[in-house]
Order: sequence, then C-alpha cells, then structure tokens
Amino acid sequence: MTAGLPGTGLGGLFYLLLALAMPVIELVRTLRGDHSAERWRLALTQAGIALGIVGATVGVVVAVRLLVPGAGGDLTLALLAPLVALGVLSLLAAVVGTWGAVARRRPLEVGPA
Amino acid sequence: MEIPPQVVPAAPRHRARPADDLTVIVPAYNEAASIADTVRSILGQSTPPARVVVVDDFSTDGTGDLARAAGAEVLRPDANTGSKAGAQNVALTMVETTYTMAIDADTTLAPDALELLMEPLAADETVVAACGFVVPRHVSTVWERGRYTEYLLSFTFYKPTQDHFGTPLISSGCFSAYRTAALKAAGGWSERTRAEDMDLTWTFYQAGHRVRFVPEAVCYPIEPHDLDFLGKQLRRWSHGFVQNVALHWRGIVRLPFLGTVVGVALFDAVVASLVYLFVLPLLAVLLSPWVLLAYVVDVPAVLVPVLVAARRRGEVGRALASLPSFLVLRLVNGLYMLEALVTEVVLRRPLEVYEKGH
Repeated sequence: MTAGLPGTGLGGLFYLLLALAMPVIELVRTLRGDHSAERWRLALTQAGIALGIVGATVGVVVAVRLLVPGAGGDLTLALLAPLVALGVLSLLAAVVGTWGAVARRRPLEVGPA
Repeated sequence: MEIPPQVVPAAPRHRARPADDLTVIVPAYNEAASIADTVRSILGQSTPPARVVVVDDFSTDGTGDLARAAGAEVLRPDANTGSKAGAQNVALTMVETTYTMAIDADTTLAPDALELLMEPLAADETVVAACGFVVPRHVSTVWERGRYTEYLLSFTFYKPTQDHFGTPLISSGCFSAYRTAALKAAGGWSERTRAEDMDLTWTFYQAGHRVRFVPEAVCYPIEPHDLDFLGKQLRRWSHGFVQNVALHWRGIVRLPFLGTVVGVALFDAVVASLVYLFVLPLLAVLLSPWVLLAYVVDVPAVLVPVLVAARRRGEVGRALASLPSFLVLRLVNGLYMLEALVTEVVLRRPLEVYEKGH
C-alpha cells in the first residue's frame, strides 16, 4: 500500500472502496454548493482506476476457474475470499473507529517533536 | 477628466512568487557523485528559490566543494550529525524565509517541480506541508525496477486517494516543502525515529495542520541499485514505520481517517509478511503447488494503475518490463518488515543508527 511496506491486498481493497466512494462524496459536496472541477477530475480518475482494478480482478477469477485444475467447479471460494476480506476490513475499521471515539473523550497534549 | 496618479495601476515589474520566500535545504553526506546535479536542478527551476543551502555533513569526498561550485551555499557542522534529520536541523536554525523545502542530495527535479509544489502552500494558510510525485531516476536493476513499479502504483492510486480525503500518509522526505513556522513549532525534523518524514507528517496532523500531495510536481531520486543499499533503506523504512506507530498511536487513533489508514497498513503489513514468507510456501507443500499462484494473482489489478501512470509518462514498455521485479521486491519488503516487527516489538531492540542507503 505504501512504498516499502508489504500488503496482501487488504490495503488495496480499502483504497478501492475509498476511490469508488470519491464521486459520491463529490456529488454531495457539489449539491451543498462546494463545487470543484479539479476535485471532480481526481474523483472520476481514481474511481475509473478502481473500476479497472475490479474488472481485472474479475478477469483473473474467471481465468483461474478456467485454467487451474479443480478450480472450475465451485464458486464458493471465489465469492468467499472478497467477502472475508471485506469482513476483516470492516472489523478493523470498526475497532479503530471505536478506539478513536473512546480516545477522543480524553484530553491529549501534543508537544513538539 | 484627469485620473489621480494613485489609481493608475503600475505595471508590475516582478510579481512576488512563493519561491522568492523559500529556502531549500539539501542534507548531504558523501554525495560527490550526485550533489552537483541536484544543486543545478534546483537553481535551474522555473522559479528558483531564494536560497539553496547544502549541509555538508562532514563528508570526506569533497561534497561541499562540488556543491559550492554548482552554486549552493554550504554549511559544514563541526562533526557528523549522524542522520539526515540532524543535518537538516543544522540549516533550519538559519532559515528566515516563510517556506522551507527539503530535497535529498541524490534527487533532481522536473524543471517546474518547485513552482508546482509551492502552489498549495501559497494558496491555503492551513496547509503546512506539500509533497510531490517520486520516480526513480535510474530504472535498470531488479531493485530499481521494482521500486519504479511500486512508486507508480503508490503515487497514482494510493496517494491521490489519500489526498482527496485530506490525509497523505507521508510527506516524503526526499522532496517536500513546509511552512517554516509550523516546521519550527514541531521542533524541526525529529531524530527519535528512523523515518523522520513520517514522524513530522503525523505530528502535523495531530496539531491540526493540513498536508497536500501535488502529483504534477515530479522528482527523480536515485534508488538503491543493489541489495546492500536496498537493505539499508528498507531497514530504515520498516523500523521507522513500526517506531512511528509506537510513538504516535495515541494521537493518530483520534484522527479517524489517519487512524484507519495506519491501522490497515500495519495489519496488512504484518499479515502479508507472514503469508508471503510462511503461509503460502507451507500451503503449496501441504495442499497443491497451484497455491503459489497467489504470489502473482493480483498482477492484473496492480497493472491497472501502473499502466495509467506509465501511459501518462510515455513509459508503458518500461512499466511492463519492470513488473516482475515488483513481485520480487515485495517479498523482500515482507522480509524486512518481519525483521523490524520482531526486533522492535518482540525483542525491544529499536534501530537507533541511521544507515545511509539512498
């Protein structure tokens, strides 16, 4: 996800969801009167890349089911993997979010480095 | 009717530009091979900075003389400061301009990079740091090619997305600009972790400041060409990441987006290291060799943003040829991340020495 850090694809999935959400967020901002052509261009570009990644991933799943012996019969694994990843990601976001909400109730002094 | 003299607009002789109020700091230790190119690249910008200060950190190879000959001011401390952060802080005490920029001594810039990087700082008072797009200058060895792919992926998909949500994870140390007052208020570049750029960025966020990513501002650092240099760099990065999470977690967990980004990155890095290095080989032996496909199964997905970036740069062939190296590099990333986690968290032996490795 970040240069030098390894990733399983969970981080990739996180950014995929964020990128797909960007046009929706921009639409809300625009409807509220905060329009920015520059932000719209970025949102559509990132969402386009995200859709390309989704398409490529679906293509890989189809190819693996056709080419790998024993992988063609059962769709369960192909459907289960992204669901498990989504579940782990949601759980992680929920834990961090709850933790943050609790932490924000207590004061914290931020000093210089 | 005669127009009063005071309302006649005077033709501007020179419009004030942010770069006129900018000091560029270049920390350098034994960088004779690259320092002149770096200084010339800065002075040749479309909007050159007011000052270029090279901190010759007690080099033994004539770095200071070469920097001076190329047109930079040169500062030489009485002894080696021991780290990039230390060298930068030597110069920071003398900075009087509104803006400060840090550029690595092995990094050159696109001709308009400096001008573009200054735009968000000049336009918005709440922005205190800005970073640019990084592309390896040389793309030849397996490690340079791997890093090239990694950067295209990261700076085309992840970082612009982070920026849209107002939180680029790191304002990269090799090419970043800062509002000097905020930088000094943060205490400059801290030497308490091995990733001073991550430390500074997260310190800014906790102080309520904003950081921007400017993809149009491109810089070209020299990336590690062999495993020895790469190892030193990855040790700094992976230990630095773990050290920064340990140092800042109480503060960043209060910031919902940053907390989630760091949480996902940490979890993913730990799991990926274990999966790549242990789980997949074990499953391949126990279940089926086809499990090894997992090492490459995401290649088409990775290719999408990489090819988008490569097409913009006219480098599609180079990107395609470099992709296999990325698969090798991420295994090495996993190895160093695991080493950092074990050393820092389990053995409680923090990396305290700054080892130069580009």
